[in-house]
Amino acid sequence: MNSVASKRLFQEYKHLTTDPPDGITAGPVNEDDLFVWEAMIQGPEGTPYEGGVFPAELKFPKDYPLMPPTMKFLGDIWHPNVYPNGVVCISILHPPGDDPNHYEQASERWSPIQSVEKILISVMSMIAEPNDESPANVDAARMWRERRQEFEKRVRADVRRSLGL
Amino acid sequence: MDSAQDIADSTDWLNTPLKDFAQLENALHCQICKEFYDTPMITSCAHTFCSKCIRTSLSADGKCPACRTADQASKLRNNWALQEVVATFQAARPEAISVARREQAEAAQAKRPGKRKRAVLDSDDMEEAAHEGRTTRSKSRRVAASQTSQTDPVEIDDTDAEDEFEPEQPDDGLVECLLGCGKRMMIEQVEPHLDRCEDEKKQERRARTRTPVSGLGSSRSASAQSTRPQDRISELNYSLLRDNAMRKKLEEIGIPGWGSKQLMVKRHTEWVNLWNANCDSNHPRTKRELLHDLDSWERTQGGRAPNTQTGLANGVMRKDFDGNGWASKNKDEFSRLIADARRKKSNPATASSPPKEADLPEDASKPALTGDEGSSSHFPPPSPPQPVYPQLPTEDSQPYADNPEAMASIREKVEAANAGRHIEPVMNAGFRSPDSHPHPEHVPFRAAAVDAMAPPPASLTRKPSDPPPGSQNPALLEQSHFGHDAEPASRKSSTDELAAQHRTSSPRDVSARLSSTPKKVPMFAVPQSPVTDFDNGVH
Repeated sequence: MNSVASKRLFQEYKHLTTDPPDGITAGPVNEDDLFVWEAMIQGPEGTPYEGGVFPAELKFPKDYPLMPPTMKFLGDIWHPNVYPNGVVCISILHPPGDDPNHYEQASERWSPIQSVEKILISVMSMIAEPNDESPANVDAARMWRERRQEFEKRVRADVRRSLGL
Repeated sequence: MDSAQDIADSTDWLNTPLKDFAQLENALHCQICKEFYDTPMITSCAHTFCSKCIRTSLSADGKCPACRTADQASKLRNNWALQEVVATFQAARPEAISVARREQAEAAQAKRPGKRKRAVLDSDDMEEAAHEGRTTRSKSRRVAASQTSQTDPVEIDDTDAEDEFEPEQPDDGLVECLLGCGKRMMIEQVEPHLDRCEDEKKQERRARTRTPVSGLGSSRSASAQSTRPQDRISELNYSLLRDNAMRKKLEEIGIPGWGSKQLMVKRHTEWVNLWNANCDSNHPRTKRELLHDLDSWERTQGGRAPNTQTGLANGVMRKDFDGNGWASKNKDEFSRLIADARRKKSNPATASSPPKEADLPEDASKPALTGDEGSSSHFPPPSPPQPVYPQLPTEDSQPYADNPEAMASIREKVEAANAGRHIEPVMNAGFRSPDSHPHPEHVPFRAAAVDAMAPPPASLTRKPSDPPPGSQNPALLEQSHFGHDAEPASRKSSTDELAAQHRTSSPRDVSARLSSTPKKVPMFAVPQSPVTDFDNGVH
């Protein structure tokens, strides 16, 4: 399969393996299928997520890079912008065109010039700074807004549990 | 991953003394495909992308991917200076990177003897890989270069896109030939001239090229194939074109015209982008190569892409589905099911449920036989016989099981119907419907309708998953059944069996049935000859 999408994914894969950003690794789960990736994101330092490693799955459409991939955390992550099933809600992953939520800047959304690396960096900064304007996990958002200490305690507990401590 | 090393990437420079070259190389990459610019084009908003990349992107959402300003493909202009920079950088790259790596290896050897082995190994690996990948690439580039120099000069006028869309005309009231021969004429003369002009052009091309006219497409596409594709084509007003017109257009330009309209639109857009990007290039490829590209698009994103086929098969039966062929192919399976059903019939508890019902899953939302057939992907989710009993709850499927009288009467009717006789309902004895002369067309239907309530005689048992003859379009089938469902009210109100039975026998219902049943076909009997057009059955 020698499509535009797989060529570009290959290019990005090579770039990410030789020059990965701090705290991020990513690559195809199986090199025969470049359209499903797995990524590991470290919890950003100075946040309750610090020390955690969060695996996620990225699925790319056939018309990538015209359309963005979807991203889903494979483990539990208690975060206002991550749906309880792990799907990440972040503007960079939303396709261009009409904004169903009417709050995102067009410039924040997906465009073919974005990349896996930029997505993962955005997600990392999203982890550090939740956006409670458009919560995907309403309970988590409310806890984050109203009972920050409880929120952080829960996140730390989750991180410890995920590390088997 | 070996092949990963074949791809040149800016990160190749990172561990060498020339690490700033990584940034330089990045700057020479198209932001869409992340590779070196291929025929870079500059947008109205002054961003630069590969021709193919930006054209595809613009046809997807009409905006510059970098700044999201609205733009049009017709306004793109070649960025020749950048193209030259990229070409020369690419030519210089293999040499430069091997020097850089050698330098790095030497430095590592001299400085850190402890880590020497590893460093050398790494760089050797990379160098070797780089060599493999890159010599071939530079070789191919040399070949390409020599080819272009042979066919030079290739003139690509980078303003002709503009001309196409907003032709500049001297204000003399004359029109220029649309085919570009340069002649100017009165507007009335244009049409006769075009025919002549086209013919002349064709002949000229044939004389000029020795390329044999291949069998691809029409003569028009053949002639286009033998020339350098210079004339940009534009996207069509797809919403105004109907399926057939669209198909014709595609075949006219020599690309495949199959599939749904949506697919054809996508294919045409892809072709326009391929074609126009090729027009932008200063070493254009042949139409054959472009068709090859279109084909690989078809296999990855178009109609032959994995997954789309199953998506299309979902829910809609193919128009040309061969019901008889399917029936005969799966005859064994059907016979087995019929045998099963008959065996179940011997059990009094299930005696009155038709064989089909016995195989029906609880939720009745799946095709009756999916489990058994496995491969019945052509069957639509509403299995053909199902719509006949749309509101018949499973627990009521045997309303007459404990009413021997009713059963007997029903059996009698079924048998009579089967034998071709017409039975006048008892309560109906004195009544004659306006058109109640027995007609073979609707007798079988009566049998089928009654069948819902009574165990069908063996002779009536239709192959369970056979699509009803003459109604291979499930939507149509469903409609025709639902449309007439008002009439067998008895089936709907199965809770009120007695009243239902009375109603079934009432004169009004008989006449209604007689006038509306000819479209019905037996659900459980295989006709001797295939029913091809059931509308003809209307008397």
